[in-house]
Amino acid sequence: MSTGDTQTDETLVEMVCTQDQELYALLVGRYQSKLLRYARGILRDEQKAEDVVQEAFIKAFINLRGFDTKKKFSSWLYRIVHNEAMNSIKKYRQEIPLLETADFPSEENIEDNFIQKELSTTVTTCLKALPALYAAPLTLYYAEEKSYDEISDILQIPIGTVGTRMNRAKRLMKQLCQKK
Amino acid sequence: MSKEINDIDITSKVMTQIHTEHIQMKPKIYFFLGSLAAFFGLVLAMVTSAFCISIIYFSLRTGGRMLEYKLETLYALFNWWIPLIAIVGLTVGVLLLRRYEFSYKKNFSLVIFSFILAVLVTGYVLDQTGLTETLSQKGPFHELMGPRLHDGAGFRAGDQSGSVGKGRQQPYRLE
Repeated sequence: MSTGDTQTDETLVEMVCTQDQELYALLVGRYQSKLLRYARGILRDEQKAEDVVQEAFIKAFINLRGFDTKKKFSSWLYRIVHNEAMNSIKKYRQEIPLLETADFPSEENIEDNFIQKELSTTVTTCLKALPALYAAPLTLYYAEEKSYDEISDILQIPIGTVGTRMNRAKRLMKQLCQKK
Repeated sequence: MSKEINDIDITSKVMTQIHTEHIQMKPKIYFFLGSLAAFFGLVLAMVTSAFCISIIYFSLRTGGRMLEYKLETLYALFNWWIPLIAIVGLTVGVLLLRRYEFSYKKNFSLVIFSFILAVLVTGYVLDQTGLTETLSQKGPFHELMGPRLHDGAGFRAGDQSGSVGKGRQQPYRLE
């Protein structure tokens, strides 16, 4: 186990800034899967999601000394990825392709796995049709398990707006799923 | 499985990019100066807008008796750079406000509305206290706006009292 493995994100950021820049790899390792999943959810394109996450990590590294370690590092990082993803959408304004695979891991037994897979396929199919405006808070809340407060920080919108978007997203999801 | 490989690649890709392109973290002073510039920019934008708005209040207040010519005079002689600067100041102020965390924690429309209202009220107070007039006579703005406000031109084209530029001008009233 290396020096930074047990440290919190914020302490690790301090260490990257003041001691060893190589420790940044630990931070990247901690968040790469989550951020890739989030970026895929917004962009629905594997390659673009990977590019966006990589670019976001580089931007985060460049601006790491500007991060206030009293705040939550994960929210800051998600925000960078979100902004990068939005820029990417603006850049490639075109029809967003459908996801080939669902990404909802489960550790239940086979039967549960099957049900879960069916359910997640349905949810993913509905989610694909949802505009990014509503897909983002929904993904953050259910897939990334972020609180409303964290979503507010990531999307930079008031908590009330998070609630409103969540309600609309759920309603839209319901309509979309019933159509299927 | 392919996703796992991709995930592993990201860390190595990021670290390789940092090493090969010699990517450096920006120094702490950069962010400190950035925050300082944003703060003073906001204050400056607010003060400039308020001052320009107080001049507009002042110009309208001392508009003269011949109201029928007011719009013509306004069009012909009004210092258009004043509202222009006020608008630029307000825009810069709003853009800078977006940098602050409270701007998204609260309703941003309300933040903008409060900011504009604060500037308008400050402008009005500046005008009512006579500070604008004093500043326009003594301050750096004298060269730019002095001749128009004090030589009988501008909004005082309708002023026939001959008292232009002699002390604080009382607003005319329609009787």
